[in-house]
Amino acid sequence: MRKKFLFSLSTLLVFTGNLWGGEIEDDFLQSLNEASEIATAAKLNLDKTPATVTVLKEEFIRQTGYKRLIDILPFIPGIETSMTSSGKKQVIVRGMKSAYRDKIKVLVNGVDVTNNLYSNQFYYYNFPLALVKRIEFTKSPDSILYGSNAFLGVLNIITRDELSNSQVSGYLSTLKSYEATYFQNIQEGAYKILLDAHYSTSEPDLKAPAAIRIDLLTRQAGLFRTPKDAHTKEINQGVGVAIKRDAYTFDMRIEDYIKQDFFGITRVPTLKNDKDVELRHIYARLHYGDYIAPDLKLETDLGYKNYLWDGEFRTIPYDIQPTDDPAKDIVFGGLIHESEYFLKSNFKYINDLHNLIFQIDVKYTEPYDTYYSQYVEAMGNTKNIYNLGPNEEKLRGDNNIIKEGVHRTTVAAALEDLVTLTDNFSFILGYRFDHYSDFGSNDSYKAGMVYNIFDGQTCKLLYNHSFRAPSWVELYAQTAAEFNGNLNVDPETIDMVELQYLAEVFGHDKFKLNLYYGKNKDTIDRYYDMATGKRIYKNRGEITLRGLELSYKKFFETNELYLSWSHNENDSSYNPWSGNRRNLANGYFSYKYKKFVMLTSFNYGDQIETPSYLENIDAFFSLNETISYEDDGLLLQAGIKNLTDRENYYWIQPTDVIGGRYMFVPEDAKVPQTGREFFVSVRKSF
Amino acid sequence: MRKIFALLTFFSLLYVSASAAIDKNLLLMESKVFPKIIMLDENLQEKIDKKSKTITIHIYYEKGFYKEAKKFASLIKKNSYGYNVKTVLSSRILKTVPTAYVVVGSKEYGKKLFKKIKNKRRIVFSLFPDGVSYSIVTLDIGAKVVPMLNVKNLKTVGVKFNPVIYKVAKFYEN
Repeated sequence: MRKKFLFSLSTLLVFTGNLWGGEIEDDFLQSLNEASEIATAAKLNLDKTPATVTVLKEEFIRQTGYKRLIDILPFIPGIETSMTSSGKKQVIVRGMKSAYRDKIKVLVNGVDVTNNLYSNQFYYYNFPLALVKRIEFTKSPDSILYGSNAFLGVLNIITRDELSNSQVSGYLSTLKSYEATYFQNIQEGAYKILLDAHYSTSEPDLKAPAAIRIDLLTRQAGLFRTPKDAHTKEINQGVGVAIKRDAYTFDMRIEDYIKQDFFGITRVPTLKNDKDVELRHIYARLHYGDYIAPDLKLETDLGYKNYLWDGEFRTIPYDIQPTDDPAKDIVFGGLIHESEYFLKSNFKYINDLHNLIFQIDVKYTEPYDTYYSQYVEAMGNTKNIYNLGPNEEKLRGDNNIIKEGVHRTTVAAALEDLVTLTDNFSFILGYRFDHYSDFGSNDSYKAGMVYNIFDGQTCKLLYNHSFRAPSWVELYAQTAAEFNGNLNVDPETIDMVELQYLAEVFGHDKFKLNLYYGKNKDTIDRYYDMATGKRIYKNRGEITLRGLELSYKKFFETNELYLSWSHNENDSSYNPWSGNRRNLANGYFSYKYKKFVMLTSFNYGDQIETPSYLENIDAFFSLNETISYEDDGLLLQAGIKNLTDRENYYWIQPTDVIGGRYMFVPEDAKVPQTGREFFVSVRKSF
Repeated sequence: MRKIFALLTFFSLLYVSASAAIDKNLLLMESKVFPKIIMLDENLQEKIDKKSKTITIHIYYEKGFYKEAKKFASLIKKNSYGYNVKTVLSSRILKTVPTAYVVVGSKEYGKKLFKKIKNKRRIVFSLFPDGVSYSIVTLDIGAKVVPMLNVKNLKTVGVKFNPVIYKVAKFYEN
């Protein structure tokens, strides 16, 4: 009967084919394309698309009660978070720890907020989760549509949008952490206006461990400075605006981050607390996106970005001898502004078979109004190699923090096609060409396939070749301190193969296994040049990444159990101490009772292997509990992080060689994490 | 500590109820596509208020899904090709037959509606993909989003669609 029915439909189609193409039919087909775009953007069809994406949804984010973006990322398999001695937050993807950049691309509503200066973005790591609708983490390298820095992955933060209710929220914790956020969704005629703002501070009481000085000449290590109070204050503030009308959106966002020096940038806790660093990122964008034919969509982004790094930090005394006089500290600082103008257009052709994207991406970037400062208060007006610019003089020219007059124009073209051959099989091919005005050209390419073995079971095979362009510091830094650029540095590249298996078991439960193998070639890192006594950037070698990620999510009607484990076996050709934890595990159990939700979660990482003269850094463990009560738009939460008050630590590598002879490191090469934290928060939607 | 875990596990096993939330993006997709499918009804003219040129969509929601039903109603554009679009939120079956129904609830809930209105020749949408067993149309979310048509129910109800829908739809078999 069904066959007869379908036959009659097909016959009808043949005879009525010439009637198609009317406005209603076109409109219907276009609405399906729009729906497909929403499904892809919202990652609702993950098992059908060739990518390794983890989505943290609004409901889970809300249930954790966590305040900052970085707090929730460890729930993604293969992701570890860490911190440098100076308090810079780090996201370690698949065991790849890098001191100054995380080699990922961070997007906020699709806008790249990674700077060109260092190619980092840690000023967004404290972004308030109360304003986040969804977090997507693509762990596959993916330069085809994202360009440089989409190296170990792409982190896309989707903020609350026109589907979200307006809200205000407040948060406070026993670690002197406070936050207030505001979001307003205004729909006025054809206009949709979204406003958000946030302010937060944090200043946990932490003790900086004693600083040890290692003398490479005498091969002895000794106490340099006794434990001090760490300077842990952080302030985050920002505003976002989006105005939407029909196919047009204008949005802008300012994110400002002020931090102190925590345990000391040179691993030596400072005697005085009077220096901050401020980082500010601004973007403004005009977006147009509409169908110019039922199967052809044009999306264009035209915008401007501005990044500011402004600050000073105290380091070691100029004579490298123990002292109690902070006036002997060498103070380093500077100012860098960078501006970027960008134009990106995507032409999307969508039909039954193809989902094709052609992209043109053009950028112009330049640093401006920069200076360097280096002085020693105790030396007054005497000018020397320590007191380069007495009395906070702003040094420019040959002494500037970065070579003056540099700029970068980038032109790129990319083509990617997702071909859906059958309901069960699709494949993707992509190629991108980039031309950088300052160091030349680069090719990126990808291939992948998705095969639905049968209903609920999917297999993916992915290959990506991506790159990371050298940052301005890596090319043009010229400071007397540890950072010296090298014009001969080439982009570093990564080739990654991933095999993924997804299965729905016992009804809707989800099981996911991901195996990966990759090579990071021409890794850009610093080396100590004996001839000049400087640390200079160069392409140093190769890192092999290999590992697996396993996760299982079980649904009990409204309750949920989630467990994940990841393991990596990375090797570096030039650095045997990766500083990461090879085994990570996390999980949660959320359970609802009437208007209450209780979420029990844990995060675990095994010990960090260190050189033989040091003890390994202990395993990390945190057990957490959050209780939420939600009624009529009011959300009340109370929670405990690190319930057992376990002492967890971050691994801190010794400094580079200072003064041709000394290295500094905190006692036992580790700094403490915060202990048990009680928090309460309130949120009201309207 | 073990006592705490035991207590939490006990709670979790005891209380299993309430409603599973629908992803707002799914609502957005359905609000874009469903009105277009209504326009593909070959007998649409017989199912509208001719005087006011109004298409009435009855959003038939189950207890616990009011928020989703309300959100869906707010997402539907209020006019389309010169027709006014009116949404009625109710968990009771209306005396006046609307242009189309949208079921927001479990498939068992949809079954109640479908039994009573199957001779009315109206399109019945289901917001939940698994609700297609007691409706006519839902969305299938794959690499491409397409309508999923319940062939048997389509025949039972007797709705005739513009053929373009059959070109792209998937077919559900009871």
